[in-house]
Amino acid sequence: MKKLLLTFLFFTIYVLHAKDFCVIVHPSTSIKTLSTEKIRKIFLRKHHFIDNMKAIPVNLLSNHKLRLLFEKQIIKVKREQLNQYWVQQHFLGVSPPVTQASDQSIKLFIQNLPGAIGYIPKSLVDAKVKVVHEF
Amino acid sequence: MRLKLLPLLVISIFHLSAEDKYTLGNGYKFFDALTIGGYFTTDYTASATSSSLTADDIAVLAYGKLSNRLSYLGEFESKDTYTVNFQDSTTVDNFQVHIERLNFDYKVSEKINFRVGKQITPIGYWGAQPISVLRDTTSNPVFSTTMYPKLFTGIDAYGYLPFTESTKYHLLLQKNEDLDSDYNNILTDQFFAFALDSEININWRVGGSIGHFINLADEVFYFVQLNTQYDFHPFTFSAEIIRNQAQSPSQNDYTRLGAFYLQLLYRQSPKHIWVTRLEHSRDPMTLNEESFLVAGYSFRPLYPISLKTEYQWHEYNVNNKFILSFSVLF
Repeated sequence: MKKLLLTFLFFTIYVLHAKDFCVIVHPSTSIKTLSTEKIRKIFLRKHHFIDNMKAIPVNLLSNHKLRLLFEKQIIKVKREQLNQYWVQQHFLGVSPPVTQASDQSIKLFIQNLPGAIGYIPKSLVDAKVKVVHEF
Repeated sequence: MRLKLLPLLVISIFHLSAEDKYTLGNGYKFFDALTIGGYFTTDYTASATSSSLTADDIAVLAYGKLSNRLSYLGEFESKDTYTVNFQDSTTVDNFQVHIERLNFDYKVSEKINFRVGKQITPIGYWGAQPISVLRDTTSNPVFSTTMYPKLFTGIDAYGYLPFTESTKYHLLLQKNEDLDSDYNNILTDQFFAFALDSEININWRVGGSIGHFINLADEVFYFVQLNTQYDFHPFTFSAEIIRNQAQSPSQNDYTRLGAFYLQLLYRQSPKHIWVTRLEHSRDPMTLNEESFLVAGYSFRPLYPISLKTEYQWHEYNVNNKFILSFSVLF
């Protein structure tokens, strides 16, 4: 029983600390990493450029589990606060990021569009995209 | 004609809400170059001397991207559209549509961008949210409508300061007439200001501004202003203070005005929000100083729909006021 508990505890800690997802950009981008703060500001449309290119953030659909994790770990605001934020931004003429239905389509979007930025599982990463942050 | 067009427009926008591209409060995005939205407010105000019901703002908003770096925004509004005064049983209507905002925004880099045209003066927290549905209370802090032009027609050069990615600056320049001289709180043909807004961390913002403007009566004004906002969920504390000096055209008389407010907001839940605000200001016309307390409640079944009520206790009891409003952003 004790062994089982220890295994469970170890597994929980591993899962909590494992970085299985990443933020990706077009491979032509010269920057190597982006901070959590910079990514947060790009997705809130407070910052507008990556490597002197106009940033085009792309989200998964609002109920996707990876998007919820991204919002919790990178954007760091609750969904209701985020919805309020976008209503306020609408009045200022700012739209939320565009959405894609799946992580595969996000990857396809980013590999074909310099300046685009999004997040996918690490397992989908290949030479067609560049990882700038892991979470 | 205008009277017939406005309800049609409102109905047609609500009709689009069934489609995928529409979310209440985020407008209808036809394509990247065109998103259309709007808002309306109606309020009831009662004091010792008057009571009235007003269809206050009916507005249409359009914005979009014209290229990767160039975007535009237009806002057209009918203000105080229909008012019923219960004290003397009179009605007043005003269906004239004004240009509240019309500007183009060109993004160069994080450090410098340009917005040209009629736009919101980016000073303090209330200026950025000038419509009832977005505000915490139906009423504004008094100084946000008396101490500087809330809109200006000119150039805003803005961006993040070179040594930080969290401190935003705005350099405002106006040396021409207002695009719609019927629609502004203070009419000016010369307005310069510099404003800073810094995000200390995710919960704490501080800012300030200095400015100068000349009104159409050739009175010269200078102001300095500071603001801070701290979010400690479920509370948000905000405070702003401003000092304004007016110089008469003959340059012999000076008038100094000061104002501040302290506000505490409590989010009981996303739908139920309570707010209290202490304000102190000096009326620019009568020069009477006054403090007053505002207590308000906002019910938001959805964030873009707001039913608000507030009561104001003034030092001069005759100014005590009850306000009830209903507003929607669509």
